[in-house]
Amino acid sequence: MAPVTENNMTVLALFEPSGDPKSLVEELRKAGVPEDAVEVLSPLPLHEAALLRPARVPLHLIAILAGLVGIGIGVMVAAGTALLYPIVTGGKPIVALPVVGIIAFETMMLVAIVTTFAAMLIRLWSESRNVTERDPRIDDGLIEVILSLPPDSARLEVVQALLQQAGALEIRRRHPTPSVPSGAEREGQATAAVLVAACLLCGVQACSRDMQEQPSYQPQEEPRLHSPVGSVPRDSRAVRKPSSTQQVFDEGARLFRINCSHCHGRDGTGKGPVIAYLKEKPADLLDPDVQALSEDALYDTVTYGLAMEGRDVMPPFKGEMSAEERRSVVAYVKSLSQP
Amino acid sequence: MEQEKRHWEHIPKINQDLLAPLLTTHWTYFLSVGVLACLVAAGAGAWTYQVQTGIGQTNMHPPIFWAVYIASFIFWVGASHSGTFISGVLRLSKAEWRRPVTRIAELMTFISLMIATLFVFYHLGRVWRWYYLIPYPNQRELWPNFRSPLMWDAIAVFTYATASTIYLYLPLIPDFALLRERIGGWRKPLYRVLSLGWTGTQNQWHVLETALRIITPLIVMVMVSVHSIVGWDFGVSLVPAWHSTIFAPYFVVGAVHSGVGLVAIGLYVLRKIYRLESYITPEHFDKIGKLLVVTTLVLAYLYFAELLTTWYANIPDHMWVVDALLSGPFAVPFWFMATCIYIIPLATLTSPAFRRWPLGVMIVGVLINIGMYIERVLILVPPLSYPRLPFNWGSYFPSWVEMTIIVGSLALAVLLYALAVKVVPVISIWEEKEGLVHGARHGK
Repeated sequence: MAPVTENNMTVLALFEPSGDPKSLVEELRKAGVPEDAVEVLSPLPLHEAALLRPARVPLHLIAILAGLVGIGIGVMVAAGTALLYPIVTGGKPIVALPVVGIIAFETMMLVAIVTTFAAMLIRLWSESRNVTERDPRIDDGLIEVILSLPPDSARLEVVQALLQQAGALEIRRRHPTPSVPSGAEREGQATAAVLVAACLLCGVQACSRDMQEQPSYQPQEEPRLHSPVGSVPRDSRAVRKPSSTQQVFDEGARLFRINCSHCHGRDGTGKGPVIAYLKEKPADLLDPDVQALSEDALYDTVTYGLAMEGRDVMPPFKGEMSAEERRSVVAYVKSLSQP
Repeated sequence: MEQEKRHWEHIPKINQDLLAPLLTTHWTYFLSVGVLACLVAAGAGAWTYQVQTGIGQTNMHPPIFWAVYIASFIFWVGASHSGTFISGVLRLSKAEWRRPVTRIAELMTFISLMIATLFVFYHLGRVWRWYYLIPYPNQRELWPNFRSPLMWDAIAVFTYATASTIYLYLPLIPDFALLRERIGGWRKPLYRVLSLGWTGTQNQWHVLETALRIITPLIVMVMVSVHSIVGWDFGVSLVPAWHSTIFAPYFVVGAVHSGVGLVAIGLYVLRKIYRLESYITPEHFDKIGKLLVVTTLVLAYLYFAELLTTWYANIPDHMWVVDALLSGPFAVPFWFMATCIYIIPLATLTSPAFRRWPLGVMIVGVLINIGMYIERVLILVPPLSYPRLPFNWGSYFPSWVEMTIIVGSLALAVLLYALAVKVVPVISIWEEKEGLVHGARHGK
C-alpha cells in the first residue's frame, strides 16, 4: 500500500486554512495521482470524508470481537476455575451466575478497551509512514499537503501547477531519506517482538510446579540452622544426647513394664497376659526381623502404633509417653537381643 | 467562510496561552511542591512505621476491622469518577462546554485511582504478601475465590485504572506532538516517545476520533460498574445497615457528587494560577453547579429512601445504627455531613447568580468533598460498631499513624497533579482549537 519507495519524490505544499483541501485532493486524483499518495496534515480534524481512506477492518468490529473474547476470558476465569478448584461454601453454588456475569462484564470492557487502543496505536503508526516531513507551522493553523510521486517530470509539473492554483503558500520537493524503515519492515519487527514475548511467556509456563522437587526438611533430621537466641525449644523436636546409657536403659525397662509388657510380655517374646483376648498376636520383639529395624523405625511404631490391612493392631503411644520416654523404650527394646 | 478564517487566526494565541503553564514557573510553585513533598514524606514515614511495627498501629480492633483506610479507598475511587463523568458523559452528549474541562478532570481520575490503590496496600497487614491477590498459577495452588466481592472489586478497579489511563492518553497524543515541536530540554525525548509519531494526517485524526467514540461509552459503563461493585462490598454482606439493595446506585451517585465537586476545585485553582480566565469562564462553573444540584438531589433522595426503609422496618439491630447516627454518638459528624453535602449545595447552587461566582462554587466543592469523606467513614464505622450481639460493641477514632497516612496521601495527590501540570497541558489544545473552528461552523 505504501507508495514510499526510494525513487519517489516528495512534494510538500503549505496552505492557508481558508483554502479548500477537499477540492484540491479531488483535482489531484483527477490528474492521476493515486489515492494513497496524498496526505493532508492539519492541526485539528477537518472532518472531510473525502480526505479519508477507509480502513480494511473497522475499529468498531475489532472492539466488538475483543469484547466477545473478553466475555470468554471472564467466563473461563470465574466459572472455569471455580469448577477446577471447587471451594465449597455453605449453601452457595460452585458456579454463581451473577458472579460470572460481573467478572465477564469487567473482562469484556478491559479486553475491548485495551484492544481498541492497541489497534488504534498500530493504525496511527502505519498512517505516519507516508509523512517524511512535518512543517511545525501546521500547529499555528496551516494545512500541509504531502504527495509522494514517482520521479516523472511531466506529472510533477502538472501537480505543481495544481498546487499553485489552489493557493499554496510554499512548495518544496524532497528526495526521501532511505533510512526510513518501510511499513513492511516495521510490521515484521513488531511481529518478531510479539513472537519473542510469547515464547518467553510459554517458557514461564513450563516451570515445574511440583512441590516434591523443592528442598524440604526430613523427619528426624538434625536442625540445619541454629535456633535464634532466646527461643524456647519444643521438646518433641529436640534431639538430645542421653545423660547416661544405664539410666536410659533402666527408664526404658520401667516404661516397657508399664506400657508394653501386658501384650509383648515381660521378656518381650510376645506372650503377655492379655494375648488370649487379642485377634492379632503381638510381635516377638526378639525376632531378628524386628531387631533389624532401625531405632527410628521402632520409634515411629511406638509413637504412631501399627496398622495391618487397615486394622489397628497396636495403639499409638505418643499420648502416653514423651518423645524422650519413647526413645528410652526403643533403646530398651533394642537391648533385648543382646544376651 | 470569512468568519471561519478569523477563528483559525486565533490558533497561535491558543498555543501560546495553553503552553504557558508548561513553560513558565513561579517560585511559589517550587515552594508548594516542597511543602507537599514534606507532607508526602511524613505519610511515607508513618506507613514505614506501620509496616515495621504492625497493623496494630492503627486503631482498628474487633469489631471495627474496616476503617479510614477503606473509607479513603472508597472516597478516592469516588473522586476518580470526576474525569469519567465530566469528560465521558459530556463527550458522549457532545456538550461543547466540556472542552476546557475534560483534561483537568481526566488527570484527576488518573491520579485519584493511583491514590485509591495505595489505600488498599496501607490496609494490608502484611503488605509484602500482596501478590497473593493476583490470580496466577502458582506452586501453592492458591486461587482467588471469585465469589468474593473483594475479588470483583480488584478486577473492576484494575479495569477502570487501565481504561482511564488509556482514556487520559488518547486525546493527549496530538498535544504531545505539539509539545514535541515546542518544548526542548529533558521533556523533548519524552514527548517524542509519547506522541507515537503523530503527524496529524486526516486518517490519523479519523482513527483517533473513532477510538475515542468507541472507548468513551465503554468507560462510562465501567465507571458505573466500579462504584456499584464497591457498593456491593457492603451491600452483599449481612451487616445491619449495609445489607441494602440501594448501595450500588447510592455509591455511584455519591462518587459523582464528590467527583464533580473536585472538578470545581481543580477548575478554580488552575484558572486562578495560570490565568485561564478566557478559557474557563463563569459559564463553566454555572454548568458544574447545575450538575451538582442534580447529584445533590438524587443522592439526598437515595439517602432518604435507605433510611426510610430501615426506619419503617424497625428491626432492633438495624435501628441501633440509625439511632447512633441521627441522635447518638455519631450525630455530630452525621449532621455536619448532611449540611455539607445536601443543605449547603441546595441553598447556594440553586441560585444562578451564585453559580456564576467561581470562588463560591469552589468553596461548595470543598465542603462537598469534606462531607463526602465523612460520609464514607460513617458508612463504615457505625454499622461495624453495633454488631448484632451487644457485648461486642466497639468504638473507633483514627490513630496518629492513620491520620498521617491520610494527610500524606492527599498531599501526594496534589503533588502528582502539580507535577503533571508541568508535563501535560491542562486544557486539551487540539480540542480547544477544534471547538473554536468547528463550533463556529456549527453555529455553536
